[in-house]
Parts: sequence; C-alpha cells; structure tokens
Amino acid sequence: MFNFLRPNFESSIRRELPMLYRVARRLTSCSEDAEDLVSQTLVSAFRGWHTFDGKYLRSWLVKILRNERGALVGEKNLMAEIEDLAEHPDDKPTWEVVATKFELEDIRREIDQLPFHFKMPVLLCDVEQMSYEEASQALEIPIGTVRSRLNRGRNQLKRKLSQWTREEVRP
Amino acid sequence: MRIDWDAYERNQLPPAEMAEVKAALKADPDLRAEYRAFQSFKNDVRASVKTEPVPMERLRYELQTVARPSADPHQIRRWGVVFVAGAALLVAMVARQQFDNDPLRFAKSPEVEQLAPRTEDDAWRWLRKEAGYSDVTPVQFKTPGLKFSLVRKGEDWACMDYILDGDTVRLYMKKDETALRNVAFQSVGNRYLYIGNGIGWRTGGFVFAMQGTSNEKLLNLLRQAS
Repeated sequence: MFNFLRPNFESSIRRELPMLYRVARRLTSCSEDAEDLVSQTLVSAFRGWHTFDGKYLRSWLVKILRNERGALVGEKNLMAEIEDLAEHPDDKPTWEVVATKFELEDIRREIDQLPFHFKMPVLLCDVEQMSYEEASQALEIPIGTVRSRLNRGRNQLKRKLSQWTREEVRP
Repeated sequence: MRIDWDAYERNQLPPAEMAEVKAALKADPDLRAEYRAFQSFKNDVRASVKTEPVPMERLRYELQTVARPSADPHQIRRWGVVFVAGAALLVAMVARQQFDNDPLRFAKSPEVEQLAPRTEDDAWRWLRKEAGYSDVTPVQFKTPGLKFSLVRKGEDWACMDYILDGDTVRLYMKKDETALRNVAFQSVGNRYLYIGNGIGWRTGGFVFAMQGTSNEKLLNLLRQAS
C-alpha cells in the first residue's frame, strides 16, 4: 500500500556502485567484463527491487552479482572452483610478525588468484568492511563458515605473498 | 595466547575476554606487534583493491539507463502523490536556485573517478601526476583526529574527503580564474577567506573550498594547516 515510500532504486544503488564494481572487477579478467557484470546485476536488481526487504542492501546486491556471474561463467566452471572446504588447519588465524610491506599490485594479483570461495569473504569483510552477518547474507553461508573461509583466504594470501617475496630476494 | 583479532576489532569478544585482551595488549609488546601485523595486512589488502580507479561516470550512466526508462514499476501512482511531488518540486526549484548560486559549489559536473589510496600523500601524488592537477599546491592538514578517506575527480574539479568526528569534510579544488571573484573576503590569520556555506580561498591559480562541518571547525582545521 505504501510502496511509494520505498527507498528510491537509483539513489540507493548509486552509493553502492563502487563496491559492486570492485567486487565484479576481482571476479572478472578485465574492466570491460566487470562493467558488463555490474550492468547485468543492475538490470536484475531493478527487476527484483520489490523483493528487497530493506535490510542489508549490499548483501542483497552481492547475492545478485554472484548469481549473474554464475550465469556468465556457467555452472560447470563454478563446480570446478569448489575445492575441499572441509576443516583445515588454515581455519585458525595466525599472525606472526612479518616485517615485509607488500606491494599493492602484488596483493591484488594474488587476491585474483584465490579460489572463489576464499576470495569473496576477503573482498567483502576485509576490503568492503562488511560485518560477518552482511557477508553471511551475501554469500548465503553461515557466519562460522564466513569466518573460517576468511581466515583460510587470508592465510593463503599471506603464504603466497611471503613465497613471492622470498623468491624475489633469492640470489 | 591465541586471539581472534577480527572479533576483538569488531568488539565481538565476550566482555571478560575483551578486558583480558586489552590488559594483555598493554603488558605484552610481542602481542602488540602481532596485532599491528594483523592490522597492517588488512589495511594493505583493502588498499590494494581500493586504489584501483572506479569508472563512476560509466557506471552511473548504466544505472540511469536501467532505472529511468520508466518509474519504479511497483510504485502506486496517486493524485495525492503527484500533488505532493509538484509542491516539492516547486520548493526544490527555489532551493536549487540558491544552491546553484552558492559560490562554493564547485562540483557542478558529475564525478568521473574516485580512489581510496593508502595515504593522503598518495592521493595528492595521483592528483598531480595522473589527474591533471600538476601545479596544485597540496594543503597539509595537521589536526589530530582528521582522517583521510578518499579522493574524487569530476570534469573540472577534484575533492579530497576526510573524516572528522564522524563528519565528512570535503576539500574541493578547481582551476578557475572567475570563481570567487565577486565575493567579500575576510582576513583570517595570514589568509583571505570567503566564509559562507563553508570556507573558500584562492591561491596559485586555484580556488579551494572546504565544506562538510561547521565553519568554526573548518577554520580550526585551516589554522593548523600549511
């Protein structure tokens, strides 16, 4: 009855465009593909705006973006991305003191290499600073799984970067 | 002691454990170093992605194309709404006219790019080397608590965003010989400032405007800037 009181689609989404693009960019190989993915996401979001419950807009958008990416990549490729997600020592966070300051471009490259299931929690929680609750809604997984995948993603990232740094300084 | 730094940072540890970690951090330099390593890694990860430019102009165009062919399809059109919208439009037009005449309103063209570099110096470097503001003299704020957020660029303006006490303070700049010409300046310290809906000044062929919080706070920031 009071649909006219719903938040305006355009102004609500406009604020989230940078976040959507950054996530899309890390899931695609070039900026043109990222723009296409954002564009598809916007079309679906507009069509489904009436289904948005007014809570966690960013999660809702990322959920749509994930689905759109699934449509673009194809289910077969998505299945190939699913690794062994059982309990793993990486689930526990470790923070040894590392004196190395990594180059931003190297970090970005290694984020791109992370498996999808670890990349998403890193992007949503560490880059976009979403709460576990928001990330859990966006990825449709329990909060505990968000935390364990986040730790595994970070640990993989640290390991790759440390390896990379060691290789670089090797004589 | 194995600490979930994420939960600590998000204030999600049970109160007793929270107090325990705080006490341990005070007492143990190795633990402080471990916490710093965690923060530094997270900051680097965030900066690595947020330093990539976002093509705002194209994305906004996409959004407009999607959203504007028709109004929200689920919106109920009522004469009452139309009437209220008409009245609001009239008020908005009057307000807009005043808004447009504001001499400190620099961002009249849409934003085309935004970046969140790791440091403020990186932002100024980007403005000078990549964004065509090669001869701008950086404004160096020295106020404790003022936190740099991001840098944005429009067709003929640029803006550095800062956070102060929860407010976003914006430092706009543009190269414009005609801006701030017919306004009254006041002498404040060693600067001539226009004080209106924010604070403006001219220097080195550029005009600057600061907005986003009270003029009193803006003046304080400027007093401590070089």
